[in-house]
Order: sequence, then C-alpha cells, then structure tokens
Amino acid sequence: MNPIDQIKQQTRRNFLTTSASGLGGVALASMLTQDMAAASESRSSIAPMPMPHFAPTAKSCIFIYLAGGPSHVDLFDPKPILNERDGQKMPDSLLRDVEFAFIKKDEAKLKGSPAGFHKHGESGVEYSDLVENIGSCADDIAMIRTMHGEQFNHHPGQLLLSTGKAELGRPTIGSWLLYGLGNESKNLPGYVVLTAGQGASGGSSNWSSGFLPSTYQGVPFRDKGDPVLYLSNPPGIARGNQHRTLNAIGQLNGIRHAQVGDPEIQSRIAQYELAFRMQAAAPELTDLRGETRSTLDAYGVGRPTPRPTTGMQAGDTYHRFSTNCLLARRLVERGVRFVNIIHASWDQHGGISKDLPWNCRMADQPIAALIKDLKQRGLLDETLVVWGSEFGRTPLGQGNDGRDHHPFAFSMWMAGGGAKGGTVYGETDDIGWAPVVDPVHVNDFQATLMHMFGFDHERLSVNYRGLDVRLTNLAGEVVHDVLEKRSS
Amino acid sequence: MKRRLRHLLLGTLVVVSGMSLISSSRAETPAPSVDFNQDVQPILAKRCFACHGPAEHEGGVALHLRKMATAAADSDMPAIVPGKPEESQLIARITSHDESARMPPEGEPLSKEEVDILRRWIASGADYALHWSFVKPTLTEVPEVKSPVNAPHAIDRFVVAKLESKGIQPSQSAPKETQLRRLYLDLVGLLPPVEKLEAFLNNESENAYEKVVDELLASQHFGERWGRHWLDLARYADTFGYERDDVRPNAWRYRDWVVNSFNANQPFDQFVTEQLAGDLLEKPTTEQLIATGLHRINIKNMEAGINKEDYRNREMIDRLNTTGTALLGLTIGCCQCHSHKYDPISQKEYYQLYAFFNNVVEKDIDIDGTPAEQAAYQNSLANYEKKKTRLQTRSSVLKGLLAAKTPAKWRQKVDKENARNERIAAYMTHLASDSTVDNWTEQLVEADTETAFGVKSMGLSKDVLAAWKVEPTERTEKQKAALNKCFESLPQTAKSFHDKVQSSEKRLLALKIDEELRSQLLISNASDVSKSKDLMSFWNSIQTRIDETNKAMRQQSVERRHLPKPQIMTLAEAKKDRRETFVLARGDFKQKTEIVFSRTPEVLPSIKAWREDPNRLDLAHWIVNAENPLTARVAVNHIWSHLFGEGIVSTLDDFGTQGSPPSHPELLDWLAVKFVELGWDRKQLIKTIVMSATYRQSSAHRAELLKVDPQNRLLARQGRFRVESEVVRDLFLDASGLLCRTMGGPTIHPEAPAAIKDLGYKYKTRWVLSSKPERYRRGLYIHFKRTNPYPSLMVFDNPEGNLCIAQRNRSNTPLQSLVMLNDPVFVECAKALGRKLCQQQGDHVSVLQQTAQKCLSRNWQPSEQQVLSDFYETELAYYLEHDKDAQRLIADFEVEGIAPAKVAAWTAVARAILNLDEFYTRE
Repeated sequence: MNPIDQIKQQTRRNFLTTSASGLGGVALASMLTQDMAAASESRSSIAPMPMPHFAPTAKSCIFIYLAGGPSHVDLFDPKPILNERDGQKMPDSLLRDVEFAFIKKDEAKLKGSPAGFHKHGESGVEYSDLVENIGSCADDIAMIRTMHGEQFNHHPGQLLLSTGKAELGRPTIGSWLLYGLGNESKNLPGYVVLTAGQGASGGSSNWSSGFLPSTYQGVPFRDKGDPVLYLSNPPGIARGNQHRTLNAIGQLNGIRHAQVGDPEIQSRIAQYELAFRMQAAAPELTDLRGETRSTLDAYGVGRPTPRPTTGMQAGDTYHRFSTNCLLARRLVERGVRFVNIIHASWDQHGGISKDLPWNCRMADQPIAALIKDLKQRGLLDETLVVWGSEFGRTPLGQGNDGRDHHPFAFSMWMAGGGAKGGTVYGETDDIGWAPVVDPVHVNDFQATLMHMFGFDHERLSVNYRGLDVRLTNLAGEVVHDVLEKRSS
Repeated sequence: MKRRLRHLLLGTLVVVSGMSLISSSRAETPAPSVDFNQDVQPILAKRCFACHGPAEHEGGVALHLRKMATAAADSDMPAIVPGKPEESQLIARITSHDESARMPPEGEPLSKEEVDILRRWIASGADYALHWSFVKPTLTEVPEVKSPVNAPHAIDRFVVAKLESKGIQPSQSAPKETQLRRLYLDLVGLLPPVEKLEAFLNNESENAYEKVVDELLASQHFGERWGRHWLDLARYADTFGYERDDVRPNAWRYRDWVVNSFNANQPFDQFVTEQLAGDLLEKPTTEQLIATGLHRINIKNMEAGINKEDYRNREMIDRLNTTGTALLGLTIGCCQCHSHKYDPISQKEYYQLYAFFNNVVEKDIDIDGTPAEQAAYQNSLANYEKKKTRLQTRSSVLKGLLAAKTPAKWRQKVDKENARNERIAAYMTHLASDSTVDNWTEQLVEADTETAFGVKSMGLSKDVLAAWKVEPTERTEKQKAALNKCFESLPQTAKSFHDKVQSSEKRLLALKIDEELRSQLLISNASDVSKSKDLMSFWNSIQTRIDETNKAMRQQSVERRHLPKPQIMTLAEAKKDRRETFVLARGDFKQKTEIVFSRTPEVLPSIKAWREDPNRLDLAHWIVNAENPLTARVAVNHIWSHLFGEGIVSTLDDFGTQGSPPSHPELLDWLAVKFVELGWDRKQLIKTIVMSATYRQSSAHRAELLKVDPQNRLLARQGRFRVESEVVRDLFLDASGLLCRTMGGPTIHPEAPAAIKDLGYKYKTRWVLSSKPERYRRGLYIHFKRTNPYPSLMVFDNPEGNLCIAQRNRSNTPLQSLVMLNDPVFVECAKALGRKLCQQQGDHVSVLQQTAQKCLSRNWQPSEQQVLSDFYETELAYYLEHDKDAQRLIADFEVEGIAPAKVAAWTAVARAILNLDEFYTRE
C-alpha cells in the first residue's frame, strides 16, 4: 500500500469511527475533505467541515421539543393585565393583519391565565406554578420571551424551528452540528432522537439531514425493546456468533479491497465494526440499573401516569418522558452531540385547563432534574439544554377552554452550554401578543445556538442547487445578551 | 430497434473515418485561448455575481453582461475596458494590495491563474458568450484517437481522446462476469440467474453481450428499475405529507403509469408532454390523464386551519420548481423570491412560468378499476359502514345511560322510545296503504294536530312539510313531485323507524360488557347505582367510554378517506374564474405586484412564436422541442448518471452557471442530439451507452489516477458504488429466492418494526402486514408515508419524497450494517438462502462456489474459500453444541432430515455473504 493510501485510510477511519475534531491540523483536515470528495460517499460539495470558527462554549445539545405550541402566557410570560381584561375584546387595530388557524376574529375575546406566577432564585425570574420545578433552575436559565416566527401551522412551524425555513429537504439543527463538529462518541450515533407519547406532526422531517448524506440524520432511539432499530442479533445468533460473522465479513471485504482498491470498502469495514460496538454500547446506555434510586426518583422514572384528560394518548408517557430526560444525560456523557427529546401534545385548542397542567406535570419535574443532574456532574457548562416549540398560543381564547396558534410572540429558554443564567431577554406587550423590546426571530435563536458551538452561522453553509444554504436561511443575528462571557 | 442501433453505430464510424485526415493538427495548437464559458464565466459566477450579477449591481457594477461590464460604473470608471486589462477596474480591484479595496471582499483573493485568465480574456477583447447550456447542442466531429481498436464506438472516442490528451489509458474491460452483473443491476436491478451467467460465460459469439442487453431492455423489470429513477424526480410518495399525512390510496396508478411507460419505451417527449398536460391533449385517454398525476402527487397540506391560498401557492411553486429541476436542470426555485443571482432568469420570468400552472385544478375521477379493485372497495366500504353503525349505537346507548342517571330510568326511556317508534312505523304503514297522495297528506294535516307525536319527528323534509300545508289544487309541480316522491318512500321510512326498536338487552350488547353486569343493568329495581359495586364502577366509567367511542369515531372518519376507492388523480384547466398571475414580492402570496402572462424565459427560445397566449400544453411542447437547449442534455445526463454513478454534468439538477461544467461537453451534446434524432428513444439511448467500451471497462481503482483524477471525472474507469435503498432489499430477496416478482398495483406493507407505528403522529400509521408472498415484492412497491417512511429504506438514503431529487446521496453508516445483519426481513432472506444451501448437492466447497455464483456472479478465490470454510466449520461446531440456538435461528426454515446445526451453519454463512460489500455494490 502506498503512503497516500495509508494516510487516507487512516484519516478516513478516524473520521468515521471517532471524530473529525479529534483529527486536528488543517493539512489532515483538508486531506480528509479531499478523500471524502474522492469517495462516492459524499457529493463534491458536501464534505465535512471539521472545525468550528471560534472557541465554542457548548459541546453537546439537548433540545427538548414540546411540539404543538405550549402557551407562553400560562407558563413563562406572566401578564397580569391580560388577566384583568379577561373576557374583553381585543382592539381591532391589533387584529387587522392577523390570521388565525381557528379563531373567528369577531368573536375573539382575551383569556387570562388561571396559573399563578412566582419569582424564583436569586434572579427572581417569574415562572408559572405549572413549571415550578423548572423555575427552581431559574438562575441557570436564559429566558427569551420575544421569540417569533411567521408560520402559524404546525408542520411548517416545526420546519422553521428545526431547519431555519418552512421548507422541506433542509438539514435540521442536529445535522448541521454533526456536519460541522463530527461525533465524539465511538460507539453511538452523534444525533439521537427520543420520543415519548405521540410523535411530532412533522415526523422525520424534524430530524432529517435534508440534502446532507444520511450520516448526519437523527437516529430515533426507543426506550422499549431495542434502543436502536435492529440492534439485537436475530434469535440464535449469540454475541460470539456475531463477532465471528463480522470477522469473516471483514476479512472477505479486505480481500476484495486488495483487488479493487476502493476506499469505500475500508469505510464499510469500519461501519460494521462500529455497528458491532454500538450493539454493546446502546443497551448499556439504556440499562438504568447503575443509576441510584435517588436519581431515578428525581427524574420520575417509574412514576405512574395519571389518567389523561379527554382525547389524549397516555399509556406510560410520564415514565417515558422521565426516562428520555435521563437518557439524554447519559447520551451526552458518552459524547453524543445532539439529543432531541420530542413530546407532541401541546396543541390545546380546547381543554387547556386540564391538558396543560397534565403536560406540565409530565415535563416539569424531569426537565428540572436534568438541569440539576447535569450541573451536579459538571456537565451543564458544556451542555446546552433548550426548551422550544414551533410557536406559542394566543392570549385570545378559542372556544370556552382553548387557545389558538400564536407565532407572533412566544417563549423559549436555554440553560447551560454558555447560556447566561438568570436572564430574561425581551419583553412582550401587556397581553403577550407581540414583542415590544428585543424581538428574537427563530433564525436569531438558531444563530445564537450555532454561535455557542463555535460557528458563525453565516459561514457554516453548503452549496446546494446553486445556493449557499445555511441553517439560518437569509437572516439571523446572534443574541449576545443571553450568552455568558467566558474567557477562552 | 436493433436496426436503428446499427444505423447509429455505422453513422458514427463513417464520421470517424471521414475525420481522420484533419484530426492530427489539433494537438499542435499553442496554449489554448481563453474560453468564456469554460474559463471565465465560472470565476465570475463564483466570485463576483453575488454582488455584481443579474440580481445585484453594487456600486453600479454588473459583470454578467458585456454591455453593463464595459459601461461606466458609479465611480465613472468601467469595470472592463476591452483589450486593455491594465485600464480595467476589475483587474485593478482583484489584484489590489490594499485589503480594504481588494475584491472579492470575502474569502481568499483570486488565484494567480484566475487573475491570469481574466487578464488574457480582457486583453483578447472580453468577448462574452451565452452560458454553454443555453446554446443549442450541435454535433461535433467525433475525435480521432490513437488507439482505434480500443475505441470503435463514438462514446469511446470522446472519452479516450480526452484521456489521451492527459496521457491516461482507459481501464481494461471488466471481467465478463462483472459486465453481466453490472448490466443486470443497472438495467433491471436484480441478480443475473446462475444459468444466464453460465450461458453468457460460455457464449463466445460477438453479439453475446448485445443479446443480454436486448433481453434486459425487453424485461418488465426494466420499467421497475428505471421508473423508480423517474419517481425520485417526481417526488413520489403514497401520502399527502405535512401534519395529517393521510394516505393517497390511488397514487400507485401514477407509479404504474411511469413503469409502463418505460417498459413500452414511450418516447421521452410524449412521456413529458402527457405528464405536464395530458389533460389538454385531444380526447385524452385514461392513461394520459393518469400521467398528469406528476403534479398531483406533490406534498399537500391538509392540516385544519391553514390559509388555503398560501398552500395553493406553495404547491404551484413546488410544481414549477420540480418541472424546472427535473426537465430543464434549472434551479429556478431561486427566483421565487428574487431574480437569480447567477443565471439569467429574472423574478418576473419565474412568475411568467408560474402562470402556465396557475389555473390548474385538481380533479379526481372515479373509475371502475379492475373487478378485484371494485370488489375490494365495496367490501371495505361495507365493513366501514358496519363499524360505523356499531360505534354509533354504542355511543347513543352510553349517552342514554348517562342522561338517564339510573338503569331503571334508562329502561323506562328505552321502552317509551320503542313504543313511540312502533307507533310512527305503524302510522307510516297505514298512510302508505292509502292509495293517493291527497289522502295521505290530508291525514297528515290532522295528525299534526291530533296525534301525540309531531309530524316533524317522522323525519319528513322541509320541502315536503311545506308542500302538504298547501291546498292540493294550489300545489306547484315541484311540490307535487316532492310529495309523490315522499309518498313512495313511506314504507321505507316506516321500516327505518321499526328498525330503531331494540330491546334494552340488545342495546346493551353493543357495549361489550360482561354478562353479569348486563343482567344487573337490566334488573328493573337496580335503580340505585350505589348499591352495587360493579354497577357503580361501570357508571363511573361511562364518560370515559363515551370519550373513547368518540375518539374511535373520529379515527374512523379518517378511515373513510383511506378506503381504496378506485380513482385517478388528474390535473385539469380551470374554465371559469381564471386567476391572474402576479409577481409575488419575496415569494409571499399576499404581496402581489406586477401582473404577468405565460411566457418562457428570454434566454431560451421564445414560445411566443407559436401562440400569443400559450398554455400548459404549449409549455410541454416547448420543453421537448428540439430547439430547447436544455431538455435533451438534462435527460441524457440523468440516464448517463444511472449507468456510471455520476453525470457528465455532475450537478444533475443544475445546468446553470453555478453548476459544474460538463466533463465531456462534446460527448454530452453528441448524446443529446442523437437522443432527439432517435425520436427520444430511451431504450435505444441506454443501449448505445452500455454497448460502449467506456461502460464495459473495469471499475477497479487505479493508484496512478488518484492524483490526476481523484473523482474519476475523465472516466478512466467505471464507477463502483452501493446500489440504492430499494435495490439493496431486492437483491437480498432475489438471492434468497423469496423475491415475489408480481408487478404493479396497490402498495405493500412488508414486516416493519413496531416503532413505525409508534412514531406516527395522530391517526397512527396504519401498517397491516401484507400476506406472503406479497410482502416479498420489490422495494418500489413499499407503502411510502412521507412523515414516517419505512426505516430500512431511509437508512440507505431513500429520498423523502417531498422534493424533486435528481441525485441520491450514497452514505455508508453503521445503521446500514445493522439493517442488513439484523432486520428481520433481511434475516429471513439469510435463512431462506441458508435452507437452500444446506440442501444443495456436493461438498461444502462446491456449495460455496454455487453461492458465489448466485450472489456475486463469480467464483471464490482460494483465500476467500478458506475464510468461508473455516467460518462454516466454526459455526457448525457451535450449533452442534448449542442445539437450542440452532433451532431458534432456523425457526420456520427447518429442513426435514437435515440436522438443525447444519441448517444453522449454512444460514450463518448465507448471512455473511449477503453482508459483503461486493454483494450490494455495483462494480
């Protein structure tokens, strides 16, 4: 084998089995890029970009996706004046250019929030009693109350949040991070999706790699059965059989490689080895026997799911959501870059007085436990935890007991990974209708997130069909005020 | 067909021999002059146009047109002074040492070579040329090559000439086995049968290869293989997409139309015309209407509460962009929001194209379908109705119980209701027995006042109620008719009231509660619910039961849409209320600006020559007109890419200035011109290509090429790549003998992980496992749900079916390994193959050889044989000691009279062979 081949094979293997950032050195990186371009694996324009633009504050991200549109005025954005005006009509001027999914404008009336709000922590940020546990982490959370977008239907809104534009076929946030930073786990996929209850309406488009190769797509993990699809050997194949099988496959692939010299075969051999390691690593990941009772209890693993309110799917959703939060910590501990926790029943057009508290009881405890657990283990500094959804809900009521979609203002928050704890950024008007101070578009949020991972969002792009496509579409400004100042 | 091909080849040879006199002078030409398209345009497009191109003219500088580039800019100085590079601001700015002045402001400065090219170009007069792909392709002379023996074929001469100019030799022909396997994989996506392999290897005649080509092109599986390529462009899927993502039970009719079109070798121009405008053809056939499904299978949002115009606009944009990408290779989607930054297409021109589609309406047409389809529909409809009635009864019984508060009260109510219905039924029968309309209306008038039940409760319509109140003599014809009709239906109405009469016991049966509880509810003195624990808990559960029933009813209403009603999905043109088309500022459907009419972009041949007001059919004709410089090039490039792994233009979806230039421009044009000359004959074109030596050469990598041509753009060897998602599955099934070759029809549901059901949003994914052998059909028939696609396809880069995709990714991941090793569908293939192997005659060396022939179309080498023999022995030893494991592995695939350990060992061997890179790679 000539020396070029040797280096190529080495670098290639390193990339595929460990991480791109582990390589170091521009020369090697560019060689890798060439190699990737030479092999058919990646199209000429889609080679990995193995280095961040500047020092990151975050290494991994746990993105908690409460799909459907949780009500900001009931959870994170207290509005006493809205409560005072409960039942009143809204000024026509505010309604003129507005569209709703369901509300009829002439019948629209303001709806106050029944939730109590209290101040938390040294920062004294107000949280609804429905999320009092999350409130207890107030000093670690950077709250953004002026999130806004323009998509008022679910799937397009989810695409905007996940991919930067309400358009199909684009890579999601996790794919961009994986593309830019590689995976640090030797045994697990770098982008993992955990779902409890029913899935988000956007389905796989929320973890798609779009036009990037499937190497960068999210891998759904399950908390029952095999954590990863087809992880278990078929009945009658013990680990020893599997090992011998992979050896035989590896040897035969090696013989073929000696003849046809295609580096893709080397990569194939590495992928089989990684699969074998994953077979051991993934069950180890989901085996919670090593966790202490107090940890399990803190997350709420094993707790019963109360009877759901009308029409919701329940099963053991509480337990599963808790488990997913705990798994998220275990995943980032093992070097996984991006964990997406999805729960999709926050679309309360009706029954909000029952459904929202039910959901909050599910989400509040484990999310707070996750932040505290990460912090206690010293992982919160480098792990970004995000609470997000495609939009919020109208300060107007829909029917007797509901709220409609509201993309004009809603709340999202970040904790850890360089987010400035105890901050509230932006201010909405008296009823939570629109941002008044410091609006943050979804693209701005994405720019900020990329910044935390060391990327200039305008520069992390891929040329696709003649356009330099990037996560933040054509917009996005980093919100520096929610970032901790760190000396790097 | 054969005759035509010979003609084509012969023509080429004549051209070649005629050329031989003038060819040799070429090599002596001095340093090549600068070619605008090849050398200059790419630099300008990549580094300058973003700010100084068709869309932006910063500082008054625009470099995309000579007129603008040579005019004075805001600075009063022209960017380009033809003939005088030293006076041109362009050169001054790109070579400036002052970083703040140097262009481009971002990224590395231009390289020495790039500056040199621009300098020489300006010096020689700064001549512009239209971007190559906008110029109609012409036939260039087929070049002379030094090794004519190597290159008897026009394609080979183009390729070899280029290789020779770089001092590279083409590769040897691939081994015959490889050539055969390549043909099978490329043309039909299946393995060559062992007997075909033997026959081919033993056939020394010259046309043995050609015979195989002809046979495969005539195979019905050809349409499946190549139809699937087109379906990528057509963003085919079996559901609507977006939030609800309901099933489109008739989408497959379009899929089958595509497959059949390939099999029937429908000329490409007709193929395109029918898809874009089949409805506008004179007396269109059903098939031609199905073809318009191309623009019906796009993603469509059925979510409640959407703005319909918003999503109609998005669909139109998708239809237009798909047409642009698939047929013209243009990224016109860029112009949706602004004029193209790089290509000479303005935003206005985009909406002029949009105008061609802006008045399409979606039209579903009921068809009979086959008798089997009709029967299946009627059957499922009947089941649906039955279930609906059951749920309705259940709901009304529960509601009745809840409203009545106690069982006793409920029973009283039921009895009362029954009595009333009996009376109504009897009265109806009585009325109907009276002979005239006048008589019964008279009686009704009395009934209204005298009887205990109102006429209204008899369910008569408003019209009838109004009509019988009018004096018989003053009734209009319409009123009389209404009464007559009602009179005739009186017996049926009576029957329906009669049917409502059901005993309490019978009603309770709908609740599916246990017998004891039922009898408790029926005891008349069970008035106090709190006295019985069972009764109490039942009563407490009623609300939940009602909720559950309601939910089931909602679910069921969705099922209604999923019933396989035979229909075709077509396009039609709106006849009235036609929309005007506007330029939409920033692509926002609310921001209408200038009004526009259907026109084609100016840079391309004008459509106006044909008609002042061209329609969608004209557009289709314009696209497949020989004058259109793009269509044939794009089409042959697609075909080429499926036969080499890459296109001659590697950006299959971008023939604009930002796309890659063709690696062999003359060859691309030769193919494009020939394709049109051949009457857009796709099979003929494919045959021409696969007959070439370039196609038939080895795909083995060559170390010496790594430096000079790492991406194999010069084609010194064939491509070597993993087959696509569906074909991976097909090969496993084929090798195992499980493959079911039934073609067409509704989608199939092979075994899928429970997760596919869990992951679905509302109205869960319905995944009813297909029966055997249906479930072993080819991958292209698998039901494709956009938001929850079949996992084993997606793991191999299957397109998501949302956007037009010209080129699939080819990733290589551990999840693929897991699927091929452990997915039950793939394991089942290993088991089926293992069972076959253990039954084969001969020692295990010869059995192994036969397997290699089946799976890899070759024999093992001794070293490989050794690995497998050793592996077989170890596994045999293991399973002899672990009988339980052996039995579990071969479950359902046991062989009578053969020890389970032996079957298991062969299964293990089969599983290893099927997992070899070579097995699912097209070499």
